[in-house]
Amino acid sequence: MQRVVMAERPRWREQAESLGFRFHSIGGDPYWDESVHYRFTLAQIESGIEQPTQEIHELCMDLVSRAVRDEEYLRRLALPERFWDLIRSSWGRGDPHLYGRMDLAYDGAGPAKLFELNYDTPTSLYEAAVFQWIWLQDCIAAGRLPPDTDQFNSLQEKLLSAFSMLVASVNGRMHFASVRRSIEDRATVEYLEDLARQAGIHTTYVAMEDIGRTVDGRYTDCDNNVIEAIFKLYPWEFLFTDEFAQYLRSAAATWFEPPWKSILSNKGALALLWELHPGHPNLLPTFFETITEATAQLPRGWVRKPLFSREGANVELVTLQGEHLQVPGPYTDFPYVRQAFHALPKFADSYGLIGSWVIGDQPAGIGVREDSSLITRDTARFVPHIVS
Amino acid sequence: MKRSRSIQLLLMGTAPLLLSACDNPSPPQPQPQTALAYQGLTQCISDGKVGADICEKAYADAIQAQYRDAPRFDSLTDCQAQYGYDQCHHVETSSGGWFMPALAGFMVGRALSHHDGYNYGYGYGGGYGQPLYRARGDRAEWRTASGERFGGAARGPYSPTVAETLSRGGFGMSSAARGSWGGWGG
Repeated sequence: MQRVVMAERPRWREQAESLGFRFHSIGGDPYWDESVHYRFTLAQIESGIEQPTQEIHELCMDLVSRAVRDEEYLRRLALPERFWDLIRSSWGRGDPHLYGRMDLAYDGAGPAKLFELNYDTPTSLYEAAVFQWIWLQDCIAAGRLPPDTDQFNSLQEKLLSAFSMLVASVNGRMHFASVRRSIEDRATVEYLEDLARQAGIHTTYVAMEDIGRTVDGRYTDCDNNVIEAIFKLYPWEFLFTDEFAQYLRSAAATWFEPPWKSILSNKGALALLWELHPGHPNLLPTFFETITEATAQLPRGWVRKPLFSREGANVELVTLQGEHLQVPGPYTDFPYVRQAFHALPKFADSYGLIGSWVIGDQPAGIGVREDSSLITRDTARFVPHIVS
Repeated sequence: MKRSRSIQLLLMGTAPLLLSACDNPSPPQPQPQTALAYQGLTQCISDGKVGADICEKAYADAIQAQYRDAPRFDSLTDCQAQYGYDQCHHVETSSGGWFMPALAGFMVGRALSHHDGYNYGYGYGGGYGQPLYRARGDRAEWRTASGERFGGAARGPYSPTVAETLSRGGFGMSSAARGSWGGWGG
């Protein structure tokens, strides 16, 4: 695993704009950064990342199957009791899921360590699936990378295949939703909508805020069409506290991701995974903060994360040397877990975190995020990778 | 190969992205129509919906792809069980032999309802050209090499259920309460 410095393609910004990659820069700073890329060997990808991703995913599915049978799990995850039935029945029915991303610390040699699961509302999808793929094609075409250079990225192929499998179960139609003010979320939803249409699904976008409800408690879009199947880029933990959550049962809509994903999009899942599989080479010791004897066993360095948090918000970290880091944020009203500190690999002045995707139930590719801080935040740059 | 063989997008980049509200509707967008697929090269060319060069390229891609992608079977009977009695043949290469179903057709692209063109080879990677098969007992529908039903868009016009909306705005408040923290993806 190497970090390679290489000149940018001169016209990548224009290309990004023309292809609809609208958030390639954040406030003038590049979010997409192709001045560097990471290079992996095939063995590193297959044994170091792909195989552990599959294994962790299976542990996650096993965790869900336990949690729906045991209320104690749901209680410890701080999931609201009035939605336990919804969560349990969505798993019991076998509601399909589309995608998820796990964040891994991997240095090319030791076992990859699971930092977090983003199994409900993962983003950075388009740049991983499409733009880094185009970058590689362009670099090969220009003779800047050898023709046999590869990339661990079959995201688009697997997403298309996943949507093709869904056509019948969603009756050929899906709504797509995100909150109105986020252009990045809107773009991620637009990409997924595009793939759904390619698979032959009739799609309609509706902002979360615009969803309506009927007298008999069903959900409607702006044209008063009843919503039967909906992809929402909006976390279950917020949806559960919204006023319209009271119609979840009567609406009987099929949700993507399904309600059972709320078990895995919760940092408490990291503590439960460690409890069920202590010492697993790809897991870090993690405990609910309430278990004081257990957290006392943690080594000197630790990371404190709220059960519900995104993009590094409200994460607090103490390194082995006692250095203290903290990111502010809005998620202060939930319980916390503590996870043993594990340093991200450092290349030059940057820390690289690997987002490893699971589509359906298969590992499907990676995206690398780089940050100058040990806590990967929403401003972390997305950098491409190659396999050679 | 660990990466997607081709990338094609229908909508992204073609229209400004509207953060629309119900009182400010966005213009109707193109929806998928029937996929364009043919049983053979001659049929593709004589149909005239796309140029002969596109037919030839798609056909050549499909022929090539089937040796890589087609389902492989150790025995003739296993292959016939899925693809039908007269549909399987033996392939012998230097690295071994196997049975695979016969190519029943190939995909050229999909049409969009708002224009007459077909998205073949859009952008990067050469578009579709994927081989198609027909499963035993389901001769009416194409199957892709991985066995998925192909041509879902040809289900006919979709007629949604319309119902009176009593109120809106019951979702998204929890998100707004967390201030200007941007989106909810992570």
